[in-house]
Amino acid sequence: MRGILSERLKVMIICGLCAMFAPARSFVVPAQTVYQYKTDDATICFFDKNQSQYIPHLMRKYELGKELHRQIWDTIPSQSPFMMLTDWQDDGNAGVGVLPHTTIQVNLAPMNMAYFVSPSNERFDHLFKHEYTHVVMADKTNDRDMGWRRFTGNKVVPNSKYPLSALWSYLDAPRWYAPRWYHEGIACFMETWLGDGVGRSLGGYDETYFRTHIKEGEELYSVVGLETEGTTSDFQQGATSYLYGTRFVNYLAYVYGYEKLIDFYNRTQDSRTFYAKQFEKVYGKSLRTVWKEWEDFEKEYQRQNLEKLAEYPLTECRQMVGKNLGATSPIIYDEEAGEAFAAVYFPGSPAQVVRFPLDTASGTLGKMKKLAEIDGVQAYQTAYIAYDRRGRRLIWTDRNSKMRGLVVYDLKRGRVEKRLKYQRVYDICYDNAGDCMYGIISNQGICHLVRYDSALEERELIYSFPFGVSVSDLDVSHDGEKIVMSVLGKKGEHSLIMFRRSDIENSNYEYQTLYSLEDSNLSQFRFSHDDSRLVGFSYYTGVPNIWTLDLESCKFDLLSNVQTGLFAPYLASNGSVYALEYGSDGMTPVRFEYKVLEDANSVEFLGQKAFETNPGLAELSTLKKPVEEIGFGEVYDSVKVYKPFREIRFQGAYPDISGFTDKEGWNKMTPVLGYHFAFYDPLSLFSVNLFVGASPWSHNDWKNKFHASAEIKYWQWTLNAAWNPTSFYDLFGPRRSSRKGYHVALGYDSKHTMQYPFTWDWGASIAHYGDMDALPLYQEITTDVHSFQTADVYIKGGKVRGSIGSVAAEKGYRFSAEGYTYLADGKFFPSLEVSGDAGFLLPVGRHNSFWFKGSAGQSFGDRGSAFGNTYFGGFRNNFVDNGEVNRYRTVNAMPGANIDQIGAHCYLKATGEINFCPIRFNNFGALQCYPNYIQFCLFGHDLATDLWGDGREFKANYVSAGAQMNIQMVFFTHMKTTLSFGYARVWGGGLNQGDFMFSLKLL
Amino acid sequence: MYVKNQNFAIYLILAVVVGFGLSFLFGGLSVQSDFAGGDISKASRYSAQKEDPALSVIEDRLRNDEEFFNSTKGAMDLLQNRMTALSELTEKTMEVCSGIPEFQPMMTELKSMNAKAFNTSLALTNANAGLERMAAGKLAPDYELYSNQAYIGFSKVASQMDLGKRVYDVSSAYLAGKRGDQYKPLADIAVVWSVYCAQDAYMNGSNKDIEYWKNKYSELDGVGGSEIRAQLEKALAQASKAQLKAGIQDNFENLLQDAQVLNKVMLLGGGTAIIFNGSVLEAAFPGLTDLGERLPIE
Repeated sequence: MRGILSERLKVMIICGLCAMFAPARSFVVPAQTVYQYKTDDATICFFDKNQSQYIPHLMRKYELGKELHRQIWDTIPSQSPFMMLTDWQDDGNAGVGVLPHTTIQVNLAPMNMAYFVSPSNERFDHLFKHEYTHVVMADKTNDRDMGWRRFTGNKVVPNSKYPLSALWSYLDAPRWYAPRWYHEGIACFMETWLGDGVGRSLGGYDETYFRTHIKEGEELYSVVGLETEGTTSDFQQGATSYLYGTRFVNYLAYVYGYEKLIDFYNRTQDSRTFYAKQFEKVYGKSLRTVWKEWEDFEKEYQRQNLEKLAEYPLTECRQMVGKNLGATSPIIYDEEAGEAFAAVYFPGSPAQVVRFPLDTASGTLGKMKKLAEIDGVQAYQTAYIAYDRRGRRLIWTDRNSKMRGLVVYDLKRGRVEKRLKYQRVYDICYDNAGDCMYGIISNQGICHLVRYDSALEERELIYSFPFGVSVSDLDVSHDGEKIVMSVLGKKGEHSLIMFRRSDIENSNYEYQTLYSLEDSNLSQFRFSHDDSRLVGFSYYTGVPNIWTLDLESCKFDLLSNVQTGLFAPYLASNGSVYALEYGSDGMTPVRFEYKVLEDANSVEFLGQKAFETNPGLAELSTLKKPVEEIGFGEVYDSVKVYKPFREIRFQGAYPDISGFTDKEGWNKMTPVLGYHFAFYDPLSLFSVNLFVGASPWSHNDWKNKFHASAEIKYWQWTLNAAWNPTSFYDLFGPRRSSRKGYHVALGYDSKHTMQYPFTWDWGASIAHYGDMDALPLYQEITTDVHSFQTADVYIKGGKVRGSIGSVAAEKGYRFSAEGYTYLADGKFFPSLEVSGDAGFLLPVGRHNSFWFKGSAGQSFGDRGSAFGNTYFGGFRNNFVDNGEVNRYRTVNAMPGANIDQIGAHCYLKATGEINFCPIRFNNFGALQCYPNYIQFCLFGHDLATDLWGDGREFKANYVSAGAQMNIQMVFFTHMKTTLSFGYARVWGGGLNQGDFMFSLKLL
Repeated sequence: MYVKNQNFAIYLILAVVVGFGLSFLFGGLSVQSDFAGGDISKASRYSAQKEDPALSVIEDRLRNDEEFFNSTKGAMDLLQNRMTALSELTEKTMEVCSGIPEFQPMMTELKSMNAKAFNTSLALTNANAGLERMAAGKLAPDYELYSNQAYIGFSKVASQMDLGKRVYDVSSAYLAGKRGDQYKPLADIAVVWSVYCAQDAYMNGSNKDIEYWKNKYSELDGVGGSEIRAQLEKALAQASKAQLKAGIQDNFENLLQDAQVLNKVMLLGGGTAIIFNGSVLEAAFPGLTDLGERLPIE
């Protein structure tokens, strides 16, 4: 070795690099064809030409949503949106972004009907009425906004590398930076009234949430607390924005009227930029004041509802287990074996499949036992589970937010025996009589009823529902003959349907419609133990109560009258009904006596009251001028292949300030003034970001007073080139990433997220550096060799997760391996680094976790050269920063020591850290700026250097210990900023010193 | 007594009137008794219940794409003829073979196949009626439903066609060395099965199977000659070689290329399409599949 590598090693490295980039050509030309259909009003992009058949329907619904909004808001954004039609997950969904281009992503799959949280009619009709509200709210401008947009050329996307971009972005699209409740509230209001009364404004779940909160004496979240605590630590997580937003908007419409509501939301010439100021202007009171008014109103309103319900005898529910299960699947009861199973997810613990002992005589559940954790949960229901009684297997769905897979758990052996990826199946139910499993598959937007064999290897398609029909809550009778499910029709109507197995076997697919409700739901209906009736829940009275349907007489009877809500019932053989009782912290298993009720009251919906005071809402769904319909032929002939190179457009430019190294300057830096230019195609498959700047006032040579950088991305490829690259964060130090000189780098990064939470990435890059004053990775390490090349290849991955209410990963593992080499002065200086992390939740309190990290590295070049070592030291946070907050975790960090103070030719490093439970703030701070949480961490490192090889005489051991505290602040809702303080001390290798750290992480 | 009763009645009426009046003051019980059973109150909720005028996407395409309509119609006719023929063939097979012990083990299967073919044929009739309504410019809201049923039914029958081979083989073994009028119907049944299976092989593009069935056909051709054969061949003639050929080259191929059918066919093949879809997604769109997550509004 000794500096110069053997010829054989050189050849091997060069061959390795060739092999690495040899497949480059195949990567350059993506295998995937992207299609587009373009009109003056919108562009739709999709990834499977078969989906072109949906485009006319999609366009009609888009045009309908858009025109209805035009009638309401007078003018609508002029930018024609870019729509992406995808089938990348198994639950229907859509999202809107307006920076830099208005983009609407629509997922084809049917909507998730778990607990019937979100009433909906035909999905595209529903989605476009909802999503186009977001487009108007976030993108509608007045002259002032347009002035800024003209100045910046478009709408600037905030980029943490250039934090001034956030300022320009806010000026370009100020309402985008309103909180989520603001956006979701009006969107749910509009989806309901543009959808003829089908939507969350008239949703039973929303009523249940608030009624339960008031009954339990829980405080409602304040307008700030909703963002800091409600959307993160509530068992419903982000869904609280929908709940509170919809409720508050309903309240505004009910008390202050629809016209004022529109004035508040409409971005007109005389409207205020900041949403809360506009609120004050319209309502003459501060948002906090009216929010408090609503809280008081809600208490009284729900008190009346609770009293009204209590006018008839309330069902006496007894808890089956003294534990709230959070978000849970319907529980599966095995009365013979005396067991029950569920998928649960509650704050402070990862999502898991659990088993309870079931005492059938007393109707109680014993102590819950965790069987396995669930990867990839879904809201409310966590996962779908099925139970193979004879085979003693439990089957559940994983990756529930992507394409679902199946996990088969052997109850006899107590372990997972099989995992099946990409099954796309939900609502699974095991037929113990037929020894097979039924489920519903979502593919290309269509629901298919399928049947798996007992080995779960073969699946048979049984029935395909027409497009637009959503199916859920499948159950199979105990004799395996009847299969029931709930069907949501195009108008939002709900029906219970039943297939007979014997008919299906003979290809007779006529099903029986058992019962239908036009404006309420029929959900989670399951067969009684004797298969004579079905028991499920409906919001018919406005309260989720338990109902039963006699299969003989088709008589539909009420079984419960509760003030909160009951879900997922099961009629047990002992005459009790087992159900889940709704609580503000989630679901609790309860039981009550089976008894048909003759009388019960309903509750009043706040949305209905808003309608009664604003009868004009009924007219909102009437289109004054019909929308021109687009036919299939017209679409099909106009579908073209999307080419990112052709679609790239100028997306904005703005002035910026950043920092550049200047040894004689203050803080060893000089400010640089410059301009950013951005070019993207709408899908961001191809982008060009340019920066040009100058620092004529610096002490640097003239050639280092000019700065330019370019970043070009195409699919997974990135080309970087820079002359005297700058960094905003170098203005503050102590770390500097700017370097004198130039570089050109080409990289390829491949990310894999479909098996989330397991993710893995790999990538490689090569770079050429010239005229450099320091090493690219180590700012304090100078070298006489100013021009050199580098190559890098890495793989990293892991599976980490946090429980509800966490602020960071709390358990799991990560791994990484990286090979890096310099080619300097004709010599190679390769190095290899591997590391692994493992963490777990401490059994004390909530969200307290311990992480262990081990890493090892070896440099193969000359240890006497600057290129032949790895350098450690410092917290590695900047005073003002944009990177990871807890940077002490990184391999090169050694808090207490100075940056790059410790060099090592080879090393072993171990890190242990405890992250304590975050303390969340509620109702503290201003609407524009409020603290989110504060968290404290303790950590220790042990670094052993030069333990082996020919440099053992330099062997040393360093120990570092310290603490860090992070306070997260939120500016303008979306801009999260973290203030960090830390102190650490290092001992060993002749060092005994301490180091304070202060850092403000932007964006 | 009478007076007392009269007073009582007046007091009663007064009490009801006063009680009714007071109920307005105290809000009363807002009961809507429009539901089954007792007086369970339904939550009042605005609902316009407008009819959604949107057509199904398949219907939309059929109305606007003449080529697609014609190929679908052709394929539907073909499938319907096949299913009708199979229904008759299985029925005759059961009738002829009911007294032969060698056939008893497959009677349940024959019965099941007969029901499948019959029901699929019905679904195809309904789907075809929908196509005709469309051709006449009328709405056909059930077309998609029936065509789905028909495709699944047809696929299920197609996947169980080894029954044809078993019927032929048992017939052939049974008829070995036996000649006479009483054996003619069975020989005819077997020959017609060989024709049906050969047509199936043709539709699947399997030359090997065509050759196999051609040989089988010649084994028993001429042994029979009953009325049954003429009857069944008439049904099969509907799905003649020419029609099959056209069906394979134009209609059936196009039909299979249609996304709806493609999905189903691939699903029947163990979900290959879906697995393919998922695994290529990451490779095709690294970083793009989480775009939805990057969009903060939902």
